[in-house]
Amino acid sequence: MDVRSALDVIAADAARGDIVFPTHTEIALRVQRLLDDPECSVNALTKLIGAEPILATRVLAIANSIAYNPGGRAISEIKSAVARLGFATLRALAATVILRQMKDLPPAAEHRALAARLWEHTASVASLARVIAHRVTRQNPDAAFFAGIVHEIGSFYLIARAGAFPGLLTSDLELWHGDGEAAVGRAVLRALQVPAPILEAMETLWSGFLAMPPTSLGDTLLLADQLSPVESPIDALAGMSRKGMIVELELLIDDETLTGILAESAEEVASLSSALKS
Amino acid sequence: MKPALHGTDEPSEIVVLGAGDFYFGGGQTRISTLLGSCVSITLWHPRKRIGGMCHYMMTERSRVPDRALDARYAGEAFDLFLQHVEAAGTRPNEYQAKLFGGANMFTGSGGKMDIGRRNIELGRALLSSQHIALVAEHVAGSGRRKLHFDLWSGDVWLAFPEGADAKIRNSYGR
Repeated sequence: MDVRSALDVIAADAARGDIVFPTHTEIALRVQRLLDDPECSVNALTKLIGAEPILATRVLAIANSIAYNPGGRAISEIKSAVARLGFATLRALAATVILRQMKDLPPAAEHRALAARLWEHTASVASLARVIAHRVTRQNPDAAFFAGIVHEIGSFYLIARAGAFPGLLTSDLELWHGDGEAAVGRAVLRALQVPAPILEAMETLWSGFLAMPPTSLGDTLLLADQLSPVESPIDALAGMSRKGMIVELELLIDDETLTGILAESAEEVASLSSALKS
Repeated sequence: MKPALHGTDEPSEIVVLGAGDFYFGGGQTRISTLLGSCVSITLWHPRKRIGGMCHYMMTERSRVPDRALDARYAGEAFDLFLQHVEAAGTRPNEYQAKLFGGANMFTGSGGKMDIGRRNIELGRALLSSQHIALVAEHVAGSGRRKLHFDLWSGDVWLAFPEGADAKIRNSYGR
């Protein structure tokens, strides 16, 4: 298996904009476009979301998770859920629909299983990123959540294309980390018209350098990625596995420690992650 | 091509620390190193904007009087810190410390505490003995860490995990 040639072809296709999203993602893409419209109304959004059952289910589940509903007041109407979540979170949830459908694209069962594990990692990182943004880096939690949702989009695309390159996902993918993942990820995120601050955070993620102490949106993403108990299966293929050995990461944030903040937020992270995976 | 370190000024000097090396100074200097089971401690004085980094490999050895300090050993690297701190007219507790490295680079150690773990624990104890605030640490796990420390700002940048062939190659450390 010539890994370099295969990755070059995949990156070149992505760079040309030759990206085919699953057919059922059309409504999710329309939600993204509607959210970009300054005239966007809650009524129009509610109608559009209600027409896509997967998105509607996700919107209600997240709106009722502890992260967005600490008071435990359950709601069952899309319109109330839209009002509770806000437009920034809805943008992230529309992206989850696209990613979940990309996850189910590969014809091979083993590739779908890999994508399912990658989705578990994604849900964990997005949930952690939201808490870290709020409590540690003082970034916008909704932006961090969105960045977490899309942070492995290049790898989802790689898995979706892997059927055309037999043996690719059982090869050493060290070349994927760095330029390969960044080239594909950039192209897919541009096709999805992802906002510039998210792209900037992704560049930090791809650079791999975490500021200690972390401050930016990109640092938020890197920190969530490193703290996530669910490792990316692509990291293992690329020889970057943690091999089950936990990193000890501690920071002093004002009068608190990172460990203490994460312990306090564990239930919130778990509820959000679970709602994303359901 | 975007620089690997986001939002930083450019260094005027780059010091690359190998295993057992030590550096203390100031100015527009970036100290870079690559860690496995070794540990680096960074010390930074926020008012004077000076500081240093060690890269020790082992905990301690039997000291022979009058022999020069050897920064391969944690205790002696820390003594070097204390000498520079005093020479700069400062006190240890005025510095902020960060601790990195101590990865378990080998598997199957048979339950024996690995060298990375011993390096981490002695680093924490040495800092505590001088009442130096440990404001951040990124230790243990498996894999290499690439580290940059900017003396003009106190910022530390860390890439983890790095691949088996990771090297400090250029000013951006990529």
